[in-house]
Formats: sequence, structure tokens, C-alpha cells
Amino acid sequence: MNKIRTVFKFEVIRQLKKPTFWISLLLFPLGIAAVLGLSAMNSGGIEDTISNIDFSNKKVGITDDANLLSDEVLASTGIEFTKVKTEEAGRDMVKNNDLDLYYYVSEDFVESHKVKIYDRAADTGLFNFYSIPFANLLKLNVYQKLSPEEIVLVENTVDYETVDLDADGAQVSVMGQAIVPIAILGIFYILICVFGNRLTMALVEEKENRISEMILTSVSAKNLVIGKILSLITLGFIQIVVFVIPIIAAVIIYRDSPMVAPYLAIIDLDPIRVIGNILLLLMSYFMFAGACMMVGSLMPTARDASQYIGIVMMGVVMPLFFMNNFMTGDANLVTYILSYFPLSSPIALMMRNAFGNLPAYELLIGIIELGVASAFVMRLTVKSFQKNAINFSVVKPHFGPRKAWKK
Amino acid sequence: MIEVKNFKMAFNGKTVIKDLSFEVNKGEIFGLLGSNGSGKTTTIRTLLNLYEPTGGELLINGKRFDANSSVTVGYLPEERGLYKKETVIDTMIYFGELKGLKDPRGWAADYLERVGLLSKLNEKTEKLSTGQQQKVQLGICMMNNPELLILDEPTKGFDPVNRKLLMNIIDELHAKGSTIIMITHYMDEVERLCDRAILLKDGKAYAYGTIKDIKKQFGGKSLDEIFVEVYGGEDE
Repeated sequence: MNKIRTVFKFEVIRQLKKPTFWISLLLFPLGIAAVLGLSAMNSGGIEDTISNIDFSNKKVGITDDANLLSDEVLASTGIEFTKVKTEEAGRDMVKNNDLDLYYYVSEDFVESHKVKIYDRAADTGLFNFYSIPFANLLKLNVYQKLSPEEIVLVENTVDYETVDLDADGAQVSVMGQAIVPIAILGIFYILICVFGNRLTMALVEEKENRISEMILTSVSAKNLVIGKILSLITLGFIQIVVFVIPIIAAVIIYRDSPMVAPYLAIIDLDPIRVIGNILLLLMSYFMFAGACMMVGSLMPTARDASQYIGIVMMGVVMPLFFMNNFMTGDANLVTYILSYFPLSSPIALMMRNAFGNLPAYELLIGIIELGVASAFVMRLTVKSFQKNAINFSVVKPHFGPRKAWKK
Repeated sequence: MIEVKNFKMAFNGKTVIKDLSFEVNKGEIFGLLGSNGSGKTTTIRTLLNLYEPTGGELLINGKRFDANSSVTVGYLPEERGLYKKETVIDTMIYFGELKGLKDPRGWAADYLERVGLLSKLNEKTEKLSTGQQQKVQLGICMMNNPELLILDEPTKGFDPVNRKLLMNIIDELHAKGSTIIMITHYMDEVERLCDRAILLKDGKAYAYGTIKDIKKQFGGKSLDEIFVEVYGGEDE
């Protein structure tokens, strides 16, 4: 026990002293914030680009062989359209700079649904938004023939109000109940992204730096691995605290802001889902830590280990590709396979639980399964480190007795 | 103190040790000699329970070695390394605590002063030269006055001054009662330090006994001459 404590203390302190630990810890949430910010800015930029297309200085031509657009509609746009007789003529006019932009609607538009747009490549760059104003023009043409009620139906601007009822008939908010459990799932996702590599390298370091032989005469492989696992779990929790405290503080400070208040208003804490996901998070992290460390214990170098850790990560994030299976109550074979295959079960179970699609007995089975899987994987990790601790160069994992080297 | 009885070892069907038996008495300095690939390091790793033997028994104080047992062992392996990103003092304190030293910081400081590395106390180990790193490793092995000290080519890469320093340290530990096993290719070290030795060849003991007996077996030749005679035809 004393030696486990020594290993634990050494590993925790050395990680906390590393600037890279804090950089990776803080960089990840900052990175996510930056990506979301950039994405929001960028989408605004595209909308601006579209709305700012200025036709007042453009010479626009059109050939409407399908007779789609009435003169009134064309006139209502404020753009002076030059009517061109044929497509060839329009094309030549663009080529000769007599027109900046030319739309050609062929006679068979009803069948082909095709409108050709001619412009000068030098004016447009990579992205061409000239189809958008023409589409609006077509809509305008149709709207003039519709009643206001029909426009509401066509535009799908109907304001639906959904009332979700639970088994007792009480009104519940599906999104409101899912917010906190999904946030817990988010913590797990961030943990595996930030810690996956660190967990894998924890047992490679001794081998790669040729320390295994010296250290294993001072501490048993079992105690060394247990000390390391405990230290990494502790570091994981430090990470959770570092993530969660600023988020909670920000939510409290900005609780009345329009960005936060609507979400706070709909949050509906379901204790079973929240506690369920917290327990699943704990068990999942133990299991994931064990799996990563096992890869590390089998591989002689960090380079070898990094090639295999992708497989573990793939297994864990696999449910994200089947999200729809977990958000509705219609469970199918894929739902159950991903829910109970140990690597994929953390995200699958947490997602199902977040949306209220995980019955209590399945939640219990899931927690027990992950607990058993983590204990098994960690035991296997200890065994594998014992067998492969001085495997400095040969990638040949051993789990069985070392007597397997037969005479 | 050490008993190796009918030790056999094979890796993936290739026999490294055929049948090896020897004993190391408490308090002696014992030379484990042989050419490269003769099985010296394999024998030590198996003795320290890093490998499971294919056959036979390797015991320390009558038991299979276990890092949690009461016997204190210091091992300077052939494959050497330290935690590269850690400072010298942090590394030594860590190992000192694992070895049950009461005051690892004080011990480390005394040792580093003795070997001329006190100024490197707070340096990361990767910043040290190979020789300096080796001194740190040696210090780690010697912590807590081990009952059994196993040194696999301890002077490899040392200049004559540091070799002499190492010899003095070994002498001191010997005087304090440590049992020492030395693996070395320097026969002058064996002659100067070892009480007894074993020469491994083809997975067996080729010669075994006191240094005097071994020399006698080879007609009074020096150990250097014996080494050349026994292993001279082998591809090193």
C-alpha cells in the first residue's frame, strides 16, 4: 500500500508540474469555444455575402423560354433585365462584357428543373451565389398567385407547440431533461480526447526509457500499475473539476443573459438520469483508462502504442455515428450491440439514458457491466505489464505465463 | 544467499540456458562472466522474477524473488534509463521512497556530492551526460544498502577516474555486508573484486569456483587469457 501511495504521489505531482498538462487541459475547451465562435462568424459571413449581392451595377440578362416569370415580377425586383433571344446570344453577351450575368430558363424547365447561369469567373471566385436571388425570384412569382394561408403552408412557418407527456401524463421537457446528462456525456468525451494519449503512454514510458528492470526490483508490477491507474483517475477528476467549475460559474454569472436564460428555464433535473450518467461516467472512465493502459503495457514504444490506440478510440466514439438509435425509444439490434459492447457502451448508454430511453434495469446492467469490464481490463493490464515489462523491442504481446516460451 | 538449480531457459523454441546450477554465498562478490549472448542477463532477469524459467529454480534467501519481499535488491541493468523529464533529485527521491529509505533527499544529496553531481541536483536527467546518468542509476541501486547488489556491466562507458570511484563504492558496500553479483567484460575488475565466478558457455557453466581455482583449471593463466581461450572462437 505504501509503495502504491509513492507511485501515486510521484505520478500526480509530475503531471501537475508539467506545463503541457495545463496547456492541454485549458486548450481543449478554449479550442472548442474558438471553433464554435469561428463557425458562427463564418456562417454570418456567408449570409452577409448573399444578402450583399448588389445587382444595381450589374447588367443582367434573361431568356425565359418556359415563360415562368411575368414582366411584373421582373419589374418588382428593381433590376433592369435585358431580354435575350437565345442562350447562345446571352452567352456571347457575357463573353463580350455586354452582360455581367445571364440566366437561361429552357423551354423544358417543368421536366428538367434546370436554370443555366452564365457569369464571368473572375467576378465570382470559388463560390457562386447567383442562383439564390433567382430562386427568390421564382418564389416571388409563385407567391403572387397564392393566398396568405397557402404561403404559410408552403413556407412551413407554422408554429407547432409540442406537449411531451411522461408515463403519468405529466408534461415534461425532453430537451430540458437531457441537457445535464448530455453535459456529463460531454465531459466523458472531453476526458477521452485529452487523456487518451496520456493514459496510453503511462506504461510505455518505463519501457521506452529502459526503467522497467530497475523499478521492478523496487516495486511489483501490480503495485506500479495500480499506483499509475489511481493517479491517472485522480488527474482525470482534476480535469473534470477544471472544466466544470468555470462552466458552473459562468452559468451562475450569466444566468439572466439571453444566451443562457432560455436553456436554464427549460432545464428539468431528473435525478435518476443525472446520477445514472454520473455513475456511467465513472465506470466508463475506469474502463477506458484500463483499455488505454493495456495498449501501453503491450507495446514497447510510444510510436507502436499510438498506432493501436486509434482502435480503442474508434470503438468508444462509434455510437456517435448511430446517434439516432439512442435518441428515440425504438431500440434495435444496433442499439443493443453498441450499448453492451464494452468499448462503445459508455457513449451509447449515456446517450440513451440522457433521452430517457434506458430502462432502470438496463442502466443497472450497464453500470455493472462497465464495472466488471474495467476490473477485468485493469487486471489484464497488470498481467500484461508483468509479462511485457522488459519487452523493449519486440511487439509480441504476452498474457499467459511466461513459460509460454517453450523449450 | 542465491541458489540457481538446474536452470533452463528457452525463448520461442531457442534454448539460451541448457542446465545451469550455481550458488552465491552471502557477503561475497561473485562474477557472472561470459561472451555476449551467453545468457548472463537472462539469468539475472530470471533470478529477479522478470522472466519465468523454462525449468529449474532460482532462489534468493530460499524464495523466489518478489519486489514486495523483505530482501532488498539493487539492480543496475544492462538496459539503462531514467525518467528523462524528471530532475535528478525527484528521480532519486522517488526510488528512495520505493526502497523504503527514511530520508531519501538527504541520502541523495550526500551521494551526489560524493560522485561530483551535487550541482546537477535540479537538472532534468536528460540533460546529463551518459556517464553522469550512469552515476545516478548506480546511486539508485545502492539506496538503502541492498543485501543483494547486481551490477550488469557497471563500468561500461566510465573513464578511469570514475571506474576507480565505482570500485571504491563496491568495496564499501561489500565491507558493509552486501552480496554483489557483477557482470563484466573487464577481467581486471573480476580479479580485483570478485571472490568467486562462473563462466557461461553454450548455456552451461564452463568453469565455476574461486578465482584462484578457475585460474588453476586453466594452468595458471590470467583471466584475460582464459576469456580469450574460452570465447576467442565465438562471434561476439
